[in-house]
Amino acid sequence: MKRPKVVIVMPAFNAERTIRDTYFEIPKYLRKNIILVDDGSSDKTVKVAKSLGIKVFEHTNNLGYGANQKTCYKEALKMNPDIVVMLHPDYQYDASLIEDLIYPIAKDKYDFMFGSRIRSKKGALLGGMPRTKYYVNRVVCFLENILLGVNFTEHFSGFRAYSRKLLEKVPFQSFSNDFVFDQEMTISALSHGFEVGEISIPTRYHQKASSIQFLKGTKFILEGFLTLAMLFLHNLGIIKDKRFPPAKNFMINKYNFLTLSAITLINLILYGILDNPIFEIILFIETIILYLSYIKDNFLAKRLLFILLLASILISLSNGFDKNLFKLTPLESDTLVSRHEHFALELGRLYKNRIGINYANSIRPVLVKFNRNLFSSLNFELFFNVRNIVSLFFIPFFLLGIYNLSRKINKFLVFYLLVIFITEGFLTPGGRYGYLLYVPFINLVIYLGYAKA
Amino acid sequence: MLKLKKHQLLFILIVLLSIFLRFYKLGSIPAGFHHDEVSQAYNSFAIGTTGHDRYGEYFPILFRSFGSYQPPVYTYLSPIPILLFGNTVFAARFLSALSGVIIVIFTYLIVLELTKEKYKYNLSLIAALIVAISPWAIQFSRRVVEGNLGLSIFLISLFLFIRSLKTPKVLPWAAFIMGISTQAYYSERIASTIFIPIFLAVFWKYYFKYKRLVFFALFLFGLTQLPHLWILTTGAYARRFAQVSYFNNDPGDLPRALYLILEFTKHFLSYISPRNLFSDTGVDLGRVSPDLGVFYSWLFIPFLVGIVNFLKQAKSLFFKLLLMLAPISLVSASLTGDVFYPLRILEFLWIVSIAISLGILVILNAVRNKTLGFVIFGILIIYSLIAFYISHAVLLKYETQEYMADSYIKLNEYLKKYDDKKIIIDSGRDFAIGVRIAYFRKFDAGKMASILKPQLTSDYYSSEVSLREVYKIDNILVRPLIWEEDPCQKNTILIGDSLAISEKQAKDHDLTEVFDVKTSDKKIVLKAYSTNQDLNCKPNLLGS
Repeated sequence: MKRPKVVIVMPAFNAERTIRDTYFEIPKYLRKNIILVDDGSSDKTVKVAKSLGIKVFEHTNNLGYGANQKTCYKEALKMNPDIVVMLHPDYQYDASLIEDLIYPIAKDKYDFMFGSRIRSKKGALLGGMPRTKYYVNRVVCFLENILLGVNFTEHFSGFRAYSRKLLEKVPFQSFSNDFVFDQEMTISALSHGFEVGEISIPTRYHQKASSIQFLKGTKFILEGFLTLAMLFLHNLGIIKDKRFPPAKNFMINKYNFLTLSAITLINLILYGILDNPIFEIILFIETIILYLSYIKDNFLAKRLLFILLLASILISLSNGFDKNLFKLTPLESDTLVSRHEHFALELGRLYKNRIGINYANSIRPVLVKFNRNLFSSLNFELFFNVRNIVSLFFIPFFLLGIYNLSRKINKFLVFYLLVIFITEGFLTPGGRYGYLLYVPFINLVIYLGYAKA
Repeated sequence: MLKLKKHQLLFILIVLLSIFLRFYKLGSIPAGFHHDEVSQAYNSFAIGTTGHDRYGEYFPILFRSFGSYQPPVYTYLSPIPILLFGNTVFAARFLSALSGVIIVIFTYLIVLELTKEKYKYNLSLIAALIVAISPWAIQFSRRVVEGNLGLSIFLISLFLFIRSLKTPKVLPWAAFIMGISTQAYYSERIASTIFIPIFLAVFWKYYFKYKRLVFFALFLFGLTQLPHLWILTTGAYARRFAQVSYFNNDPGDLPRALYLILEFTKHFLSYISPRNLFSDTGVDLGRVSPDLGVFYSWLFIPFLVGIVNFLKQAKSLFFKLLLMLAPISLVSASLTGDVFYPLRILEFLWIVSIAISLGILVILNAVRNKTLGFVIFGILIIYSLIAFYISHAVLLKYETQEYMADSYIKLNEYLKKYDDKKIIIDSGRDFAIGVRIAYFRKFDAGKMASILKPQLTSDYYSSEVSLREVYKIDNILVRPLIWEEDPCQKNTILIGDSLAISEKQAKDHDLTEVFDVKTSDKKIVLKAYSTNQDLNCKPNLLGS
C-alpha cells in the first residue's frame, strides 16, 4: 500500500512549554509535514516551533481557535495531502497514536477520525479530567448522539484526522472562529454524509495543557446545540445555512408548515391550556417534528421528537401524576372490605390463601386503576373538546386522516404512541395532561386528513 | 391450515362455549330481577294466558311499562319459555340468552359469507369466539333486554341481505326480517330504516336487474312498519325518544340547530372512543360489569390492527358493508343524552368484534412460531374468561343485587307462609314490586288487568305514563305505606326497607318484627313487622 501523505496541523496559542514534548511524541516519519499556526501568542511558541523545523504561520492578532484551524487547513491543503491531522500542541493528546488514528482514513474506510478520551470513567478521571467536565461531557455527548444518530463516546476531542476529500467539501471557512469550530466540523461532516469513526486514546490532563474556562465552556456547549438547531431548520427549509448541504427530500413546504401551525394553534386554544406556555411551545414544536418524523422520515427529527416527548411526559407527570394509583382512597378501602367477603363466599379456597387475598386486595386494585388510566384519555369527545363549531370542523379531517394513516403505519409512530399510552397509565384519569400528550398526534392526523382532502 | 372437519368441530365447541356462558346459572346471575325484566316477563305470561297484557290491552303494538313502552317482539316470543320453564327468572331471560347464541352462530355465517380469502374459516371462527366471550355479548344475553333479540334478528336479516347478492330471491325475506327487527328494539327502528336504502343504493347496479324483487322486499318491509304507523300520533311511539333524547333540553346560548349538532357529535364520538369500549367506564352498574369494559382491554391491540387492515381493503365487500353499518349503528344512540349506553349500540359492538377478530387473525399470521402464538392467544382467552367470571359472577352479583331487587325474589318465599294475613309492601322506591310478586305467584292476568286498567290516567298509548300504581295480589297490597292508617290495621304485616320503616318508626308504632330478608352476603335489606292488634290509633300520635 502506498503510504499516504499526512500533514499534521497544530493550532497554537501560548504553547511554548509543550510544543517540544508534543513534537517528539509524533512518529519520526510523520514529522516532515507539520504546520503550526500561531494565533498571536505572547510567549515564544513561534521560536520554539521554528527551532524544531516546523512550518509556522502567524496571526498578527488573536483570532480564536476556529480561525486558527481555518488557516491550518487552508495551508495544509496547499501541500496536497491525503490526510490532515489536527493535533493540539499542548501535549494533551498522545501523538504516538497518530498512526492508529489515520489508519481507517488511509484504508478509505472513514473520512474523519478522532481520538476519544472517554474509554472509561476511571480512565478519564485518573487521566486528570475534572469530574464536572467529565459529566458535562457525557451528558452533552448523550444528547448530541441522539440528535445526530451516532454513538460516539466523545464530541469534544481536539485530536482529529480528516481526509482531503472532506476538507475540500466541508465549507470550514464559513464556520465560527471560536471553540465551536470542532463541533461544526463534526455536524457539517455528518450532514454531508461523511463517515466518522473514533479510536480510544488515553486522557492526559496536566497543568501545562490549555483548558477551556466555565463561561467559554458553557458558550461552547450552547453554540454546539445551536448548530444542531440550525441544521434542523436548514433541513426544514426554513433557513439556508452554508455549513450544510442543500436540503433534499425532507424539506417542509412553507404552505404545509403554516397549515400545520394553524391546526396546532387552534387546537391548543381549543384545549385551553394557555396557562402553561412552556408546555404549549413544546407541544407546538413536537407537532412539527412529529410531522417531519412521520412524513419525511427524518432521523434527526425522530431523535429530537423523543427528547421533546420526554420533556412533555415529565411536565405531564409532574403536574398530573395519579397520586391514588398505588394507594387506596377511603371509598376504595370500603369497597375492598365488602369484596373480600364476596370473594370468600364465591371463590372459597381459591381466594382464601395468601396469594388470592394479596392479589385481590393489593395487586388487583392497582392493575384495575392502571388499566382505567391507560384508556382514560382515549376519549374522542374530549380530543375535540366539542363545544363550538371550530371543533366540528376538525372531525371529518381527523377521520379522513385516520384512514390515510392506516395506509402508512410505521414502527416509529407505533412506538411513539405506545410511549404516550403507557405514560397515561400513571396520570390522573380525566386530567387534561393526559389528553395533551396526544395533541401532536391528533394535529398530525387532522393535517393528514386535510392534506389528502 | 384447518381442514373442514376440524373447523366444524371448533365451531361446535365455540357454540357450546357460548351456550355455557349464556345459560350457566342464568336465573341467579345477575342476582335479582330488574323492573324492565319483570315487566317483560309478566306481560309475556299475561299474553300467553289471556292474549291481553297486564292492563288488559289485546295484543298491544307496544307494551306499556313503568313510565315507558317496551317493543313487542320479546314479549310475544317469551310465552314459550315461560310455558316450558314456569314463571322463573330463567324463563324470562331464556330468549335473551338464546339470542346471544344465535348472534354467535350468525357472526360465523356472516363472516364466512363475506370472506373470500384462504383464511375465511379461521376468521369466521375467531369472530364467533370473540363474540362468544366478549363481555357485552354475554352480559346482555344474561338479562331480559330486547336489544339482544333485536341484534340477533338484525344479523339474521343482514346474513340474508348478503346472501341476496348471490341469491336475489332471499331479498324479500331479508327485508321482512329486518322489518321485524324494528319491532324488537328501538335502535333497530332507525338502523334498519337507514340501512336498507343505503345497502340497495350501494349495490344498485346489481339490484337494478331485480327491480320487482326489490319492490316486493320494500313492500314487505313497509308492511312490518304498519303497526308503527298505527300508533305514530299517539305519543307512545316517540315516548322513549322523548325520555332519553336531548332534543327538549335548553340549548343555552347556542342556536338550537348548532346545539343539536354538537350534542350528536359529542355522543357519536363518545361511542367510538376506546376509553368507553375497552375499559371500565364507571360505577353505573346498570350498564357494565364492575372493573370491565364492554371489551377486554387487551383486545384494543387487535382492534387497532384490525381497523388498519380493514382500511387497507377499502374496495372489499366486507369493508363496504362494515363502513356502511358502523355509523348507521350509532345514529340512534347518538340521538340520546346518555354519555355511553352500550345496550343501544349492540350492532356497533358487533362490528368492533369483527374488527378485533381480523386483528387477531393478522397478528396470529404474523407470528413466526404458530404454536407459541396460539398458546398465548389461548392464555389470553382463559384470562379473559376468569376476569369476566370475577367481574360478573362475583362482583356484579353482589354489588347489584339491591339495585336488581334480589331481596324481593327472596321475599316471595317468605310471603307464602303468611297467606292468612294481610300484607302491605312499601313500593316507595321500587315501582315494580307488585308485578314481580304477580309474576312469581302466577297471578291471574285478567285480575291484574282489572286492578291496573282503572288506574290508567291516560289512554293506553299516550305520552303520559304514570308510575304510581297500587297492586292487590291476593292478600298482598303493594303501595307506599300510609302511616296514618297502616299500623292500625288488624292482622297485618308491613314490609319495607330501612328507609320505609325505620327502627324508630317501628318502635313508635308498636310494630313487632316478624322476619327479615337478607342479601346473599347477609345484610338485612327488608324487614317485615306485624301490627299491634291492640293499638289504639290516635291520629296525633301516629302521623309521622
